[in-house]
This record gives sequence, C-alpha cells and structure tokens, in this order.
Amino acid sequence: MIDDKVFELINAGVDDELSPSQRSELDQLIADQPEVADLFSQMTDTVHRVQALKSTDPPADLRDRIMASLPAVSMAEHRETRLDSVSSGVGSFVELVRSLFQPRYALQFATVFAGGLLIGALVVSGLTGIGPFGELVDPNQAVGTIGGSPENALTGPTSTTELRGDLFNGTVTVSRSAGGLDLVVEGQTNQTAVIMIGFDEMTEFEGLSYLENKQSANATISSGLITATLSDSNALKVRFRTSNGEPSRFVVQLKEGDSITVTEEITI
Amino acid sequence: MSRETDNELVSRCLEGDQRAYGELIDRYQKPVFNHALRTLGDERDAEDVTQNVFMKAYQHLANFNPDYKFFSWVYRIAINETINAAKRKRRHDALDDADAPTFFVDRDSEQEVLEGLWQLGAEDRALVLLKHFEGFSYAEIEYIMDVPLKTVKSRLYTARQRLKDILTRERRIQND
Repeated sequence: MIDDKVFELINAGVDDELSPSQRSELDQLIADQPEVADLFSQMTDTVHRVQALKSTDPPADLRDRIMASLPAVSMAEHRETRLDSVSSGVGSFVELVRSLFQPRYALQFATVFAGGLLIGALVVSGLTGIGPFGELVDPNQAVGTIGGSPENALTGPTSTTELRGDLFNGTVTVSRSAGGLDLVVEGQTNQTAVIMIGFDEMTEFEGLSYLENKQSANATISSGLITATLSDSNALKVRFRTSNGEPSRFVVQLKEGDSITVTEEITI
Repeated sequence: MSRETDNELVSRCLEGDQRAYGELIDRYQKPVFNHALRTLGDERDAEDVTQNVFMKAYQHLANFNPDYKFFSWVYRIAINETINAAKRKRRHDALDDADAPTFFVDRDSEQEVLEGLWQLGAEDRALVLLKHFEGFSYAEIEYIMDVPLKTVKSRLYTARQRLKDILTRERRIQND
C-alpha cells in the first residue's frame, strides 16, 4: 500500500515538478519498491496516452455560424443597455415562478423532469419517511431533488449542489432541521451575479440569517421571491417553514448581466 | 491571422469592430471545440457548446480582465458550459443507456482512452484534459476552474489514478 506522501511524490514526478533531492528520493523508491515502480510507470503511460489524443478540426463553417449568431448591437451600446434590463428580468422571473406553481401547470411541471418516474418514487419514499415538519429525516433516504436528476437527489438532512453560470460559480446547500428548511447560497468567484429564489405558496419565508465567515447578501423579499446580489465575499441564508408533509418547491435562478444563465428547480 | 495580441483584439472589439472577434474565434475555436468533444463525446453537442461559449464570451467581453490571458478566460466559460451541457445530457438520457460508450474488444488505443475518460465525472475529465491534452499549467487551471491550487492537484492526482486503473483493467480484460 502506497502512502499519501509517496503518492504525491510519484504524481509530482509524472509532472516533472521535482527538485533534485526529491527526484533522487523517488528514484530510490522506484529502485527499492516494485509497487512504486509499477505505479509510476502506469501513471506516466496514462498521461502519455492522453497527450497523444488526436485533435479534431471543427467544421469549416462553425466560425461563420458563431459570427452570424453574435448580437448586432455594438459593444458600447451593449454595455449601456445591460444595466437597464435587470429590473425587467426580475419582473418576468416573478411571473415564471407564479406560473410554475399554479395548479393547472402541475401536470406539466411533473413531466418536465424526464427522469420523473424514478425521482417521483424517491420523493414519495422520502416523504413517507418524514413525520410532522421539524423531524430530522432518515439520512439514508433521498429527501428531494434538484433539477429532477438522479445525480442531484438530495440525500440526508443536508445536500449541496453547484450553481455554475457563465462566469459565476456558487453553491446552493439545502438542509432540514428542527427549526425549518435552510437554503444557503454562496459564491466562489469574485464575479457578481443576481440570485433569485422563488418559492411556492406551501412554503413560508421565515427569515434571513448570516453565515459567520461571510458578509450577508442584502436581499429584497416580495410575494414568494427573494433577490440578492452575490459574489465570493457574501452569502445568502434563508429560512423557510412548510406545511406538514407537503413538499416545498423552489426555483433558483442566476442572472449574469442580462442573461439568466442557470435555472434550478429544487423539491424538498 | 493578424499579429495583434489578444488584448488588442479585445479592445478593438469593445470599440465596435466585430471582425476583431472573428480573429479571436479563429485562434481558439479548435481547442474549445476539442475540449467539448472530449468531454461530451458527440460532435454536434461540441459544435453547440463551442458556439455558446463564444457567444457568451462576446456578451461578457466587457467583464474580461486583461491581467489574465484571454484564452484562460474563454476556457473558464468553456468549462462551465461543457459541464452544464454534460449535466443536461445526463438528465435527458437518464433512462436511456443508448449513448453510453461500450467497450469493444478490437478498439484502438485512442478509443480506449476516450472511453476511459468518459467514465470519469465531467469535472475530473475536464481536469485531465486541461492538464494533459491542452497543456495548461497548474496555475492556469486554478484560474480556469476557479479552484484552489492544492485542490486542483489533489483532484487531478486522484482522477489520473482512476483513469490509470480503468485503462489497466481494460488491458487485462483484452489480454485474457
């Protein structure tokens, strides 16, 4: 069994990033331990095989297609109009959230999730394992989904998913405790983005709290919609309450510039 | 291609010269396309991602910080776009394994590596390709992936080991 220190040395050797003394140390290990020699040889071979992958030319017309798809406005105009569109974007997002949670869209909402059959079973089994609101769920059961995907099933009392936009990276962590449902949204980049969280009428907004290691992102709250501007220096932590036994649904959107770059639908 | 630097082309573009952006596309569409192709495994998907990447780079061009390389900045957009596309593809194909790569006894070495890469998660695949197919340094990968250097190395070491294990196992199966 190769320990972590030797494993790091081997990898640094594969990358040719060793000092002379480290190189001597690795050479000695290779000479003395066949296991180390094998691993070094196999890792080096693996790297060489990736390096040898052939490059493929893109289609000849791809450049023209890209140029044809660029907006016609000049860059200067683009910069000025970008700032004006955020407020109208927020208004239309409120309508999106409201439309998603109206009863007549319930069937469409369910069918949007291509893997809904499988996920539905997970959610139902998770829900039947939940007692009155406030009890911790069985950590081995999936308690909801993000985006309807099996890979994004929420497991245990806490689960985290990424929010990857064009430039902004962040995470959404959902957790259930005796006090309520918590959504924590944090950014990992110095790029800013507007985060919008819409929640359905079965869920009540309870309050905002703060993370110890970050400034609080000032949020506006109105009729089922929370809006805040995030970067890596602040975070948003929101607490909700929900009716007993009923799932809570959230729509989380990321807006960078004038584009909605991420939409995640979370069911807990 | 002109001899202007990337930053000079970006400046021209921001002043309204779209042809300058065409030069940037000429320089970088191939590596972006290849990264998307290696990650998603489908040429049509790779074309779509490449188009989206350059459209989004154009939309966000005013945000580009010239202290960094333009290529690294575009690549950051490419990574996010490719990973998101991979997630959407997985959701769409969740109940259908028709597109999952299968192992063929007589496949060539390149196909073996591609199928091995496919078995890694999208982010690990991206790390391996950035380092060993695109040749980025660790510092550049730190910027592109927006992950601390120590984490980049740790994840890459683990991803390489997994890929090594996959390829070694396949070779043993073929030799049996």
